[in-house]
Amino acid sequence: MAEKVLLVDDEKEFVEGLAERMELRGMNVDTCTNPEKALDMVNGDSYDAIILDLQMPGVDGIEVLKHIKKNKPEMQVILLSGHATVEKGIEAMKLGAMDFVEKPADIDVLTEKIKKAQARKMVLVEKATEKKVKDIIEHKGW
Amino acid sequence: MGSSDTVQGRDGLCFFGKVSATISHDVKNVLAIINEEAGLLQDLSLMAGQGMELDPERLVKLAKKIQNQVKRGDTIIKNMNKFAHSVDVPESEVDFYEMTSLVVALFTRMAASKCVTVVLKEGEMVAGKCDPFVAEMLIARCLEVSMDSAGKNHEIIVEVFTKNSERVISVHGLRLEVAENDLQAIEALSKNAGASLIVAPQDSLLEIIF
Repeated sequence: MAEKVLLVDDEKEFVEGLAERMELRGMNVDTCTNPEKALDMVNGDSYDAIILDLQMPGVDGIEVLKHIKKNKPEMQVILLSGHATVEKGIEAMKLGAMDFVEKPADIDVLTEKIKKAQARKMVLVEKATEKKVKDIIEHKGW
Repeated sequence: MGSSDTVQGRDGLCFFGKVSATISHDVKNVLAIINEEAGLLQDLSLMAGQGMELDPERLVKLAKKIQNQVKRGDTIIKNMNKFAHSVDVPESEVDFYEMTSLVVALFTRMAASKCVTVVLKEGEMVAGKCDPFVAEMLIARCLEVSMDSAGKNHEIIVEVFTKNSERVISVHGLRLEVAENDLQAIEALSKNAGASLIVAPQDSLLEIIF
C-alpha cells in the first residue's frame, strides 16, 4: 500500500522537490508551507508519516509536534531540521517524534523511515481497533 | 581602548553566535534544495535510462532552480563574510545605510519567525565613524525589540538618513510598550556604541542616533 505522507516546510522549493522525488518512489504526498494550515490538514486527514521542519515562521515545529501527538497520537512524525541540535532532538523524541533527520536529507534514509512510520502507525491503529472491539463486546450484553 | 573592549565579551559572543546560527540554518536550507533538485535530475536520468522520455524544458527548469539557489547561497555567504569582518577594527569609517541593510538581511529569518515584515526604505550613503561590530549589535537588538513591539503580522519600516549632521537609523511601526529590561539593554548598548536612543512607542518610533 502506498504510504501517505504530509510534508511541512516553509521552503517552497524544498517541499516541491522532495515531494516529487517521494512521488516517483510511489508515495502519496501532500505538502504545506504554513505550519498553522498544516495543523488543519493533520486534523482533517490521516497520514502514515508527517515530515515536519523544526523551525518555521509563526509556529515552532516542536509546538506542531505537541499538537499532533495530543490530537492524533497514532500519526508518526519525523522532524527535519536545518540546524539539528542534540537538545532539540532529545526534546522532540521525548514528545513522541519517531525520528529526527538533518537537512540535506538522504532520500533513501528518509524513505526507509517513512516505511517504518507506516508500519508503526498500522500497529497502533490495529491495537486501537482491537481495544474498541473488546470494549464493545464487554459492554454489550450479548 | 576601542568601544569593543567595553562591550561585555559574553554578550558580543552571544550576538556573533546567534547570527552565525541563523546563517548556518539558511545555508543548510539552500543545500537541502540543491540536494533535492540534483536528486530529481538523477531520478529523471535513471528513468530516461530505462526508456522514459525526458523533457528538455524540465531539465532547463531544474538547472535554473539550482542556479538560483547557488546565487542565494552566495549572497548569504557574502553577508556572513561582511559580518565576520566587522570585528576587525574597533573603529572605522562606515556607511550606516549599508550596515543597516546588512543587519536587516541577517535578521530576515528572525523576522519571519516572528511573522513581522521588515522594510528598509531606499536611501543613500550615510557615512560616519563607529565600532562596526558594536553598531551592528545595537541595530540588531533595536530591530528585535521593535519586531516584538510591532507584533505578529505587522510591518516595521526602517530608514537611514542624516539630520543636522547626525546619522539617524529610524524604525517605525512599534505598537506595544517596550519591556523595561529590553529598554535597559538597548540603552546600555547604545552607550557602548557612542550613540543615543529615542524610544517612543506612543509615536510608533525608535531612533538610533550616531
